[in-house]
Amino acid sequence: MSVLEWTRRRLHLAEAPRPIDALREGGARGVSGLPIAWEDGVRTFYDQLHELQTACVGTACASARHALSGNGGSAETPGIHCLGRCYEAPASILTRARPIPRCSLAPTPVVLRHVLGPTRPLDDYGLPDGETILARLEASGLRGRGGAAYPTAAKWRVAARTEAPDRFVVANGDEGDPGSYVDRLLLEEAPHSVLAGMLACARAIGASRGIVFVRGEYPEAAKRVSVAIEEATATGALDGFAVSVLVGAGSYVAGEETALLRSIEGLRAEPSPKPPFPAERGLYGLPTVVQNIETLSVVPAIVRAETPAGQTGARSEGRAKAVCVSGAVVSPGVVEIELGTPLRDVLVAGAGGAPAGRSWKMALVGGPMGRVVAAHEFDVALSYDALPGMGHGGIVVFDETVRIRRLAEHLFAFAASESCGACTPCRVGTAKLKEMRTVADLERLMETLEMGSMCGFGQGAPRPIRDLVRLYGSEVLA
Amino acid sequence: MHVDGAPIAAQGSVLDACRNAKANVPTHCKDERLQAGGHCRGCIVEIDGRYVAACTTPARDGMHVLTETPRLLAYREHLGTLVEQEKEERAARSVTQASVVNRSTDESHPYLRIDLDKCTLCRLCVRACADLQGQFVFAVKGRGAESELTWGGGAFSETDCVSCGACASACPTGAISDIDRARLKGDRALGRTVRTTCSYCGVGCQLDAHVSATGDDVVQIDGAASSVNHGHLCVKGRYAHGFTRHKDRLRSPLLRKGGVLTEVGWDEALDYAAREIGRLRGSMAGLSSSRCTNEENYLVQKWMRAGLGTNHVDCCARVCHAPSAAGLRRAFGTGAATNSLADIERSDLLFVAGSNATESHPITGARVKQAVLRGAKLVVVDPRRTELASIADVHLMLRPGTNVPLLNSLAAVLVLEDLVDHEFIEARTEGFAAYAAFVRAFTPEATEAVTGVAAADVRLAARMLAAARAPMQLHGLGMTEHVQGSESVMLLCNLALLCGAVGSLGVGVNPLRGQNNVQGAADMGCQPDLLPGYVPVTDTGARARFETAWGRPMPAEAGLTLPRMYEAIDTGVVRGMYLLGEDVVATDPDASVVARRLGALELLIVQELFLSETAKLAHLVLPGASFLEKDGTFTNGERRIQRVRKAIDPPGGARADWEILCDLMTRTGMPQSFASPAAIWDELRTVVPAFRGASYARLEGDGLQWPVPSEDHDGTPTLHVDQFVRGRAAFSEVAFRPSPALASARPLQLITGRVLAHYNSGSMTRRSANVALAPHDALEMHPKDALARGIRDGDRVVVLSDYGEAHVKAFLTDSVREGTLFLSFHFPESGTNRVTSDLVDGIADTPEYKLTAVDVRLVD
Repeated sequence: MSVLEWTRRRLHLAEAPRPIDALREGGARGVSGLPIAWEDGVRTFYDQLHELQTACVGTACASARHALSGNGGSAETPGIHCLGRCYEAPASILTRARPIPRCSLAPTPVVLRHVLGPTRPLDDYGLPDGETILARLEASGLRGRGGAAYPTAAKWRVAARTEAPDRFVVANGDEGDPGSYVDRLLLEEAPHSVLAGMLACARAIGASRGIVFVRGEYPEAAKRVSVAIEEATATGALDGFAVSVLVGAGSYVAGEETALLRSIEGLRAEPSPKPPFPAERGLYGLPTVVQNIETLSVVPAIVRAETPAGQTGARSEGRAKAVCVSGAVVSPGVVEIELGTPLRDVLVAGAGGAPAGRSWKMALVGGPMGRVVAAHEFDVALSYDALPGMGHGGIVVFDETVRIRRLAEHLFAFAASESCGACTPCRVGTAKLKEMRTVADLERLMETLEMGSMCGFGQGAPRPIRDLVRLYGSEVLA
Repeated sequence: MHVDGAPIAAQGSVLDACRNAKANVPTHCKDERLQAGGHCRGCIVEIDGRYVAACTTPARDGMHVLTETPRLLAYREHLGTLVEQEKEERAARSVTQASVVNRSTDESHPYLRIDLDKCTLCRLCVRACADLQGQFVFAVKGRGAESELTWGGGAFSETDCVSCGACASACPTGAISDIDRARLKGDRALGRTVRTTCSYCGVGCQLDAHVSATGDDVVQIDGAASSVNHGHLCVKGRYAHGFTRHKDRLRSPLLRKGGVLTEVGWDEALDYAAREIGRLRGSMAGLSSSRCTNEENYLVQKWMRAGLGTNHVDCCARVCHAPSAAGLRRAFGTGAATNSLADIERSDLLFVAGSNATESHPITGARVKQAVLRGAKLVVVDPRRTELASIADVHLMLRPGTNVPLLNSLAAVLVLEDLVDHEFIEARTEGFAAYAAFVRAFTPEATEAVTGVAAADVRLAARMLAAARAPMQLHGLGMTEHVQGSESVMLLCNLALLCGAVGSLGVGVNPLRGQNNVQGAADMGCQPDLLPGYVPVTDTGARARFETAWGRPMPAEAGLTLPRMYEAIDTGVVRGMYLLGEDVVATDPDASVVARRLGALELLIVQELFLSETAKLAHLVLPGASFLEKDGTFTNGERRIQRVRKAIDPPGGARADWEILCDLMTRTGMPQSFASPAAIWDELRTVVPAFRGASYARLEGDGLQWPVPSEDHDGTPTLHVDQFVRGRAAFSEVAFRPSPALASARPLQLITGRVLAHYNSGSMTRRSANVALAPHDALEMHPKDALARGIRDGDRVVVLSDYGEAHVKAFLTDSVREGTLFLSFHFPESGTNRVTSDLVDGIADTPEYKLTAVDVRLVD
C-alpha cells in the first residue's frame, strides 16, 4: 500500500512500519506515523485497539451462558469472538486456559501426531527437495483446511511459476471461527510441525521469508511459536528460511487471505478483489502462499513419507482432519478423523455422545459461515463434498433447549459486528439481517449478500441461516 | 467471449467488455483514473453461473457474461434500496448527534464542502487522495455498518489537504463537492464546456472550462483526460480562475493625462501608442510574456525586429530558465527538456534538483510522489526539506549557492568509483578524458566543508544514480537562478552523460518550466539573440530567410537582455518600452532600481489584465485578455504544443492581445491582417521547420511535442535519440566561482520561491479564494537563527540586504537549513524583490533570486 511506503519514507525506516503494533503499544495520536485519518481507520477497525472486552461470546460460550436458549443474556452481548476455549465454555480472559482435550479416531494420527504422546518434533524438518514435496503433496490430494478447501499443491505451483524476485509463505493462524481451536493446539503444542510445513512450502515455491500470523486472542500461541522459531533457527533446521511472528488485533475478516495481507502490513483488514490471488501477487506485491495452520502442520507428515508410485498411502494422510467439538457433548475437544467420517461417529466415539438427560437438536459445523445440521441428519459424512461449508470443522452441538431465533440472532450479530464494511452489500446487509420480518425478505437479503459480497464473509454469512430456514422455517423470525 | 450472447473481444476487464458490447451494467465506485476497487458491488454480473464484480474481473476468452437476468435485476434494485437506507440512517444518526457536534457537514474549506449524509462509502475520495495526489487526507474509520469517512476529525480546513479537488472530482454522490458546484443555479447554471490549457505553471494541464448558461463566466473547471494531467489538477488550475471576472480587471485603455491614468477609447490609445513609438523608433525595447500565447509572442518579436528594427526583445525566461536553455544547448545542442513528463512513470530513479515540485508544479510533483510511492528511488538536491525531500531516499540538503561543488562531487564519485557508462560515453560524447581528469579533484570529502553535505550522502546518491536502470532528472530554478546557473545545468548534463541517461525513455535532463508558456515564448524568438526556432540573429543566411518572409530588414547583432535593457535606460539607449503581461516592478530583483528606471522612460506601454505595480508607472495601459478569453497555443515544459481555446469574451473593452498587437503593428507601419491566431500560427509554421507539421488540426487531442517537421510526423517525445543535435554531447568543466553573496558580511542566506496556493506576483491567485488558504507571507527561518535574534514564531521582522528591506512575519521551521531563510515572492508588498540582488548568471543574465545575503531583525 502506498500509504505504508509514504510512512516508511517519512520516518526514514528501512522497512515499512506495522501500524497495528505501534497502536497496540498505546501512545498519543500519530504514534503509528500513518496519516492521522488512516491511523484512526486502523485503530477503530480492530477490537483490541480500541475496546477492552474480557468475556468470550463465541457460539459455545454464548450457548453455555444460556444466551441461545432464552434463559440467559442476550444473543447480541458484546464480547470477544472466541478465545478458542470452547471445550471449557463459558471462557474469559480473566481465567487461565485448561489444556485442550484431544483424541484420534484414526488409528495413526497425522494432524495430532505430535500432541498425543512423546514425539520427536524436530524430525519434521527433514524434508525432501522442492519438486518431491510438490509431487507428494499433489498425490496426497491435500486441500486447505482453513475452510476454502483449495488444493494445496495447485496453489503452491502458481506461486512457484509466477515470475518474482522473492516469495512469501504465510501461516494463517487467524483461527477466527467460534468453535475451532485446533490451530491454537498446534501452534502451542506442535509449532515445529507448522514451521516445517512452512519450510516445505518455502522450498517448493522458492521463498526466503515466512510469517506466522497469530490472532491477538492467542497470546500464548504467539509466544510458543516464537520460541520454536528460535530453537529451529539455532539448530539450523530452518535452513536460512527467515520466519517471524506477527500478532493480530481482533478482527474475524482478517482471516480472509487478502485481508490477512493487509493485517500483516498493519492496516485495516479489508479484503481485496481476487484476482489477483495472493499466490500471484500478495504481500508487498510478491507471490505469497497463505496457508492455514492445520494444513501446514500435516505437510511434513505427507511429504516425508516415501510412497511407492501407484500406492495411496500418502493419500490417506491427505485426508486427515482434526475437528473441534464443543457444546452438548460429554467430552468436548479436538478429534482427529479421516474425512468422510459420519458426524454422529465423531460426536459419539470422539466426544462421548450427549450428556445424560439431554438430547441433541442440531449442530453448527464450520462456525458462523458454516452449516447447521439437524440431529436427524447427523449421519452426514464430514467431508468437503458431502457437507460443503463444513469449513475448518468446528462443531458446536446444541440440545433441545436451543431457540432457533436466538441462534439466528447470534449469527446475525456476529455477521454485523465482524463485517469489515469494505463492500456495500455486506456492510449494509449484515446489519439488516436482524430486521427482517418475513422469510421472503430474509431470503432476498441473503441472496443480495451471497451474490454481491466481495469476500467469503458476506457470501458465507447466510449459509447457516439458509439451513435454519430450511429446517425450521419461520422459527428463525421469532 | 460473449456478453448477453453477443460476441466481443476479451480485452481489459469484464466491465470493459460489457461497455464495448453496449450492455447496461451500472457502476458507482468506478473512476477511470483509479484501479477498480470493487467496493460498491453495483456491477455484479453472472459469468458461467457465478456472480462476480465486472470491474475487478479480467475478461477472458470463452466467458459467457449475462448482465440482465431477472436475478441480477432484482439484486440491483435491492442493492439500491440498501444504499438509500444506509444514507437515511446515517442522516438520522447525524441529527441525533447534532446537539453534541454536527459532524456530518463541514464547510470550513474555501473550495470543498463535505456532507457525510450523502456518503455511500465508495472510497473513491480515499483512493483519489491517496493514489492521484498522494496526500492521504481521507480514510474510512470504524467497521461494518459503523464505517464512516473521516479526515481525522476537526475542521477539514485544518487537515493536510492540498486542495487539489481530486476527491470532489471523484465523488459520485455529492458528499464531497466543490463549493462552486453547489452554487450552480440560475444564471450560473452550466452551459458550454471548452477544453483548454491551464495558464499557471509550465506543466500544461488540460482543463474543461464550464461556461455559465449566460455565456459570460467560467463557473467551474475540471481536469481533462490528457497525457499531461490525466484528469488531475491542482488548487490553482482547478479553483483559482475567479480573477478572470474580478472587479479589478482593466476594461478600457488608460492614458496618462496630466499625470493621471485616464480611461480613453481604443482609437485614442492606439493613436497615441503609434505616434510615440514612431517618435522613439530605434530606442524601443520590448518584453513579451510567457503568460501569452505562442502567436502573441511571435508577433511581439516580429514587430520589434522587423517593424521597429531592434533585437531588444526578451521574455521572462530571462528571469527563470534561460540558464537551462543555455546549459542544455551547450551540452546537447537544444535548449529544452529532453524527455516527457510521462517518463516519470518509466524512470526508476528521480533526481529532483532545486525544485519544490509539489508546490511549484503540483501535478508533476504528485506524479513524482506517486512514482516514488510505487517503488522508484528519489534523490533530492535542495537547501529546504521540501515535501519531496521529506520522502527522498537521499536528501542532499546543501548550502544555497553551492550547486557547482555538489554536482561536481556527484560526478567525481561516478568517475572515481568507475560507475560511468563507458559504452555511452564512447559512442555519444566528446571530451570525457579531459573532463574526468578535471572532475576527480571534487571528491565529496573535499567539497563537504563548502556544501555542508556529508560526503557519505553524496556517495550514496551517486551510487544510486549509477545503479538506476533509468535515472531521470527534473530541475527547477534552484539550479538556474544563481550566478553559475547555466553552468549548473551543464553539470546536470554531465551527470546524465556519465550515466548514459539521455536519448531514451525514462531519463534525461528536464527543466520544470515555471510558467504556462515560457517554453513557447523562447521558442517564438522572444530573446535578444535568437530568432524563432532558436536561430541566432547573427546567422546571416537564416536571418535573410526571416527578412524575406517578413519583408523587412533586421539588425544583425544581438539585442539587450532584460537586465541590460534596464541599464540602457540610464544611458539613453532605451527610451521607450513595450511590456506585455509582466509586472516587473513586483517580480524583478532589486525592484526599487527597476521602478526608478522605468519611471525615467519617455514611453512605457503596458498590456495587462490588472493595474499592476508596473502598469501604475505606464504612460499607456492596454487591457488584454486572460487565457480563457482568447485562442492560440501554449507550449509546456516538455515541448508539447497545446491549444488554448476561447471560452468567454474579455470583459468590457478589453481585447485579445494578438488583436491589439496586430493593430499596433499596422499603425506603426507593418500591416498585419491576421484573421485569427490560427493564421498567425500558420505563418510561423512556414518560417520555423520544427513546427511545420503542427497545424491546429493536428493539435487536437494531446497536442504535439516539437520538433514536428512535417504533417506526417508525430512529434518528438524524446530528444537526442540517435544522435545529439550538436552531434556528440559535450562534457563541461566548471570550476566553482562562489557568488559574492557568500562572501557578504550579512550572515543569512535568503532563498525566494513559490508556495502552493499562490503564483508569482499573486495578481491572479490573490484575486481568488486561494487567499483563504494562504492569507499572508511568512519568512521561513530556522529556530536557532531565530533564537539568536530573539525572534519568536509569528513575530514581525525586517529582512535587510545591501539592496533594500522586506517586512514580514517569521515562521520558525527546521525545514530550512540553519543560516538559510525562505520567502515567497507572491506578496510584493512585503518587499521580497526589494531585497534580492542585482547579481546575475554569467551566461544568461538570469538574476540570482535563490541566494541573497541578508540579516533579519525583530521589529519592535
